[in-house]
Amino acid sequence: MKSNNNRGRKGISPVVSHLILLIGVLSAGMFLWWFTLSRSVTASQTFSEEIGGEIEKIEERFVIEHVLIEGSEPNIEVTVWIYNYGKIRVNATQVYMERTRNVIPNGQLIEIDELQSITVNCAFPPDFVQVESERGNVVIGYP
Amino acid sequence: MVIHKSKSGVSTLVGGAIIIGIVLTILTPLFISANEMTSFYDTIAVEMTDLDQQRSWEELEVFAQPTEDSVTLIITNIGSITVNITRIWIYPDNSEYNVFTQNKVLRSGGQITIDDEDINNYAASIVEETYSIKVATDRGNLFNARFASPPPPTPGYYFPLEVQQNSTCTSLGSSYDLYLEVWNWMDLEITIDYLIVTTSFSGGGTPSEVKMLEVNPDITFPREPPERVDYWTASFTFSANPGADVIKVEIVDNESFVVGAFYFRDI
Repeated sequence: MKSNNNRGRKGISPVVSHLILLIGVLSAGMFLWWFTLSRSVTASQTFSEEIGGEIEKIEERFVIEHVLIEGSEPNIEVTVWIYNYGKIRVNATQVYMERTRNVIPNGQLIEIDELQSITVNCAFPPDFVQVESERGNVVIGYP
Repeated sequence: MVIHKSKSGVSTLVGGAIIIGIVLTILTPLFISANEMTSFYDTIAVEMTDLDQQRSWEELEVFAQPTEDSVTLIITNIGSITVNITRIWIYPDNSEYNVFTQNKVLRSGGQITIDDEDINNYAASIVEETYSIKVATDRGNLFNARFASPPPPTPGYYFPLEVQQNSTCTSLGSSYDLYLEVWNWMDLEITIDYLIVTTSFSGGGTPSEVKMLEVNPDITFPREPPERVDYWTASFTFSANPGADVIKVEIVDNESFVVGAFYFRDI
């Protein structure tokens, strides 16, 4: 009986230590897995967003089809017609006229194959007009 | 000994399984998705480059033929790609404008005449003003109209010189033989200075090629008899891209006006 009990007690500690070691390894492994997963998800999202942004930027095509200047100095009204011939919706956010910059609040959305006009004010008739989209693409048009 | 070996083997196995798990469940999908995104980017970049290239191949020649109460537009596709005309802008110098929506498809080498009631009505309303016309396409190109100069003598003739139908252009591989017979129907003195020859491909793919052929010596159609010359024939040989099936010949006078034009199709 004694020898049987002793044998039983001696048998528990290696199992327990083995279990503890296993739990430790598994915990460290799970932590490593979780850490790598979170970092890779973040890296993947950042990469996707960057590539997605670049794709949208290269898909964007627009042109200034017509520029109309009305009024007299210093109350000139400039209307710019922008045509979207790209593969993605354009958000025109800024109109430059030589030294004047006009920020369009919330931008002006131009759907694919759509022609839209933007009217801005200027102190003097511009020689050229520059339109910048939210994605940073710029086109130039002449009156 | 055997038990110890077994224990260390389990740890190695578990550690290895974890590493393999990380590689399989995290890094592999990460690399695959990154690769897919890059491939997608490349595909879009190629598509957009194609679009830009097609846009650069678009070339229209627009002649405006104004009268007192109308304006007729003769639009010729001299590029090597089919063009969809979307809008026609007419804008006088006094800050007015009018835009007419169109949806006209014009194949390479094709020509259309636009004699639109709305355009005519607007042209009649601004007849006393100087105005410009431009044609917009769905690829974002704009082509300004040239006003026929000098004005045509009779309806049907848009140039003072008429290239006869029996004029020929023959392909000889990488060179072309051009024979022209030209009549002057107008009571105007015209001196032919050079020819602009544009070779293009109706099937697309290959850009048009433009050549200038000098007329040497210049030929002048005098105004008055007895020196009056109504008729002129000339032969030219020029090299160009082989396989062109549409060839446009423009006759340019000494004031750089296009005074005659002719298309050779199905060369």
